[in-house]
Amino acid sequence: MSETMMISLTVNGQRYQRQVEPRLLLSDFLRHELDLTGTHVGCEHGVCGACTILVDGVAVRSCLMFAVQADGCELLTVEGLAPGPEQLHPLQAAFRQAHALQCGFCTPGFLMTLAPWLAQHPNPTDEEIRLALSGNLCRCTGYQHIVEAVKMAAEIC
Amino acid sequence: MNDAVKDAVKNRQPASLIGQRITKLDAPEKAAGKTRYVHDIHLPGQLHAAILRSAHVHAVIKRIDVSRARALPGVHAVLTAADIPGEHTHGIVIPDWPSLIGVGERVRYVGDALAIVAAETREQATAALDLIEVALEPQPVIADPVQARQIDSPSLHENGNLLKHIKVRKGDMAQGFAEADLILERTFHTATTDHAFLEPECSIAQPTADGRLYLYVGSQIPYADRNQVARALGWPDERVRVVGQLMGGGFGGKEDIAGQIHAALLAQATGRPVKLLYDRHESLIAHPKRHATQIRVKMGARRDGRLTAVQTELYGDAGAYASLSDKVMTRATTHSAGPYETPHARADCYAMYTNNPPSGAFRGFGVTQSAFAVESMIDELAEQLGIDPVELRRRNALRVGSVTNTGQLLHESVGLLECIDRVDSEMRRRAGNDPFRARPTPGQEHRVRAWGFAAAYKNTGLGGGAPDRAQAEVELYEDGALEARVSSAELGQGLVTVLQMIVAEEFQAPLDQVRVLVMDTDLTPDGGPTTASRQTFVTGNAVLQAARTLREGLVRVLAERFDAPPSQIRFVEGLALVNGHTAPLGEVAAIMKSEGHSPRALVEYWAPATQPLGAGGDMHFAYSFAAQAAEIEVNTRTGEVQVLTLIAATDVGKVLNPLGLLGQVEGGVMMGLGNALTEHFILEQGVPFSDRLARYRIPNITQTPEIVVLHVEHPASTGPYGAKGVGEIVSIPTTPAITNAITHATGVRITRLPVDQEEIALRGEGRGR
Ligand code: FES
Ligand code: FES
Repeated sequence: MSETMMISLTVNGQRYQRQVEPRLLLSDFLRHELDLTGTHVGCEHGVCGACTILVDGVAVRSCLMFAVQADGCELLTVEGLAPGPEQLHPLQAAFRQAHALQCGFCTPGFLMTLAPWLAQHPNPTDEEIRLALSGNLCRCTGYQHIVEAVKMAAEIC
Repeated sequence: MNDAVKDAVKNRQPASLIGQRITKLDAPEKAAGKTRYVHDIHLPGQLHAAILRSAHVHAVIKRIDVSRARALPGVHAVLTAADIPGEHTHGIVIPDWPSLIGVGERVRYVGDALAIVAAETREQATAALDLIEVALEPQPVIADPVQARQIDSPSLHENGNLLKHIKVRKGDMAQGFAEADLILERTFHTATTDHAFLEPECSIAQPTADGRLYLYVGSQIPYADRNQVARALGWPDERVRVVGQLMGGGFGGKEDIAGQIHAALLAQATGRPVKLLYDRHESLIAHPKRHATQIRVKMGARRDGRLTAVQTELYGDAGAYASLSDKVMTRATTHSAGPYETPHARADCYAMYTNNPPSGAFRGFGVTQSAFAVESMIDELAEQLGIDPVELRRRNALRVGSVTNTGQLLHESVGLLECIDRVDSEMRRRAGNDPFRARPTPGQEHRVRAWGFAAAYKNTGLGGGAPDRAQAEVELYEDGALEARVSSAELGQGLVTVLQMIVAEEFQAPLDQVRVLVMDTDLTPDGGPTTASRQTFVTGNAVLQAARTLREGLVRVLAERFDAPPSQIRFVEGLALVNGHTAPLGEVAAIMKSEGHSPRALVEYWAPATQPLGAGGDMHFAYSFAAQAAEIEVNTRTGEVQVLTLIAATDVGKVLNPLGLLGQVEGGVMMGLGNALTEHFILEQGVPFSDRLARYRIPNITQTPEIVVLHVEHPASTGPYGAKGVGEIVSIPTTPAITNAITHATGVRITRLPVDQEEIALRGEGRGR
């Protein structure tokens, strides 16, 4: 057994302190230690984007980070995206309205990639949206409705 | 009563939900990250499982020693074939797939399991695998289906390597080719491909206090899982309960057993809940794939373009075990003359066992492969005859009154010509009258654009004489809620939303008053497999019948209670209207109960009977049809292909939810695009190179063309509101539409999938440069 390390971090506004193994992936930490299972794991090596979360406001792949690297950081996962319980973030509402999700497995990753990006690109073109999402895979939708959802959300935001 | 109800009552013409854009029932939860997929479930005391898989492609096991693994701290069980209490093999069609390979038995592919471990942590379970000692004797490898049929090839199964020889016979081939003015013959190859659903497989088995076993899993066929797991445990079916979970995609890849039996065996042995999660590597290695094929087509036509004869010979790589190969390759074979009428047809297919991963169901179910071959041929035929490729298809297209190559007279619901015409006019509206000519991109002379066209058809339902039925139950509760229950699977395709619409429609109730329970073998009756584009049709019909049966029951009781003729009783906005009384549905449920009736209806729906292949008559009760056109741009320096526009028309009988249908079409088109351009599950002598997602390229968002979706409605009289299947047909014409466009742009004929883009650059002489 390797030594464990103490980390403290904020996730969705809540502070946590945990003893963790140095090799524990951030994605596994969120899913198994904190039971935040909205962050999905589709490939485990940075290809699919399903595990995307925000670390200090920046979209990162949580399967490519160790939990200890998030020590002292502020994290946001899909569970913390909506402004309140029973409410949806404009992106979430748009994804529903525009039929931008089917199985929904890829959706949290798309939303978390988009959240900071849309704030910086309030009037995106189709082209820009596609470029921003080129690292997120979806096997169900064919992507066209995802582009529409982003434009819809841009109007609401 | 609110105004809407008053209006509805006054007009007696309630609004129909059918054909309206309805957002997905489960979308808010999914968007909020609240949906629990199997891997998100954590049971108290749960152990973690790991599987020792064969590192060899083909070998005989001499010895397995698990004693050191058993002694490792944290390990609760290490099981081998000798520990299986019940049946040792599983399989949906033929049970030839060993759950564990025992000593003296044969490993037939790299995914074969030799031992399974349950431990306190995943790390411990994995560490235990390293301590298992295996001695085996390597055997010669059969890497492709043509090799498998050679006489000197080793036999992989008791009855040899031929899983099935499938035959289609119509007319007289000698006469057919004698009548032809032009005969073409070509051979095509398609690659092994993977579903790459985004959620890898996971099973959790939980022993219960009363001696049963609950199985949490994402499965396309919950009742088949229950049966196969129970057999392995040596139990009656009812002792196992499959609690199906929402799936992160399936596409045919979650029909076979993948981990369910292993998790159940370990739970039975330890008395603890056991979670078995595949990582992407294991998912890619282990589960069944789309069949690689070799397809030879010989086609004869008269000068006017009418087909006189189509002869095909197909080899399908079934891989190590049968899975659904028999059915998939049958569909590839029966559809191998395309959606065209030909007086003389003959097809021979050899589904062969090899040492590759098993092949099974994958959206398109074999028709994807044969459509590529036949649509490429049709295009070349058109070119050589000097006939417009769309016109050539029109002249031969199946229509009402046509007889298919299996001898089925089509008597209704054949919208192929309309699909062809709609796509054609949209294409010409955009591209002018010569869409198939190569055009250099203005200002970028090394880029060339052109259009390509393809058509297809695909059966709805199991067909071929298989009984195709679904049970469904609809119940009305005293709080006014309506609930539909059926075991059919929600993979993301939107089945629950369609079922919700059907119940709401029949009771004229608001959508949010209807809930749908699926995939639980204790709580929901058997809806049959989610395969063959059958759910909207078969399960839709079952739910429709259950809803109508329940409604009739309500009407009878209300008629008696209020002394009104049944014809005067109406349902509007969640209310029953009788003789000027209005009663909310919840109250009606209470009335039913007080009169001693149960406000519930369980039905078993049987789809129209079909005939086995070779018997003639209706091999399938319905077909869906499609035409697509693709505009592509080739970079002639690099060979890189970009699909710019894709126009898709699909005859689905009747559009139930246009929003859901759009999603199916667009997702299907992208899968066809991947199949054409990037997807290749690469195997080298049975060893997968594509063992991680970075080595298996599914299309990303930058590859999406503009997708223009056109709906065509030629109702099927036996479908729910006229609807037919849609899940697969939308994906089938995409690949040949793209490859035909590449040929038009570059002059290079594509005979192998996926397209070798470098080869296009090398061979793409002349045109447009
Ligand atoms: S799971 Fe992290 S990128 Fe796929
Ligand atoms: S909705 Fe299924 S992968 Fe995107």
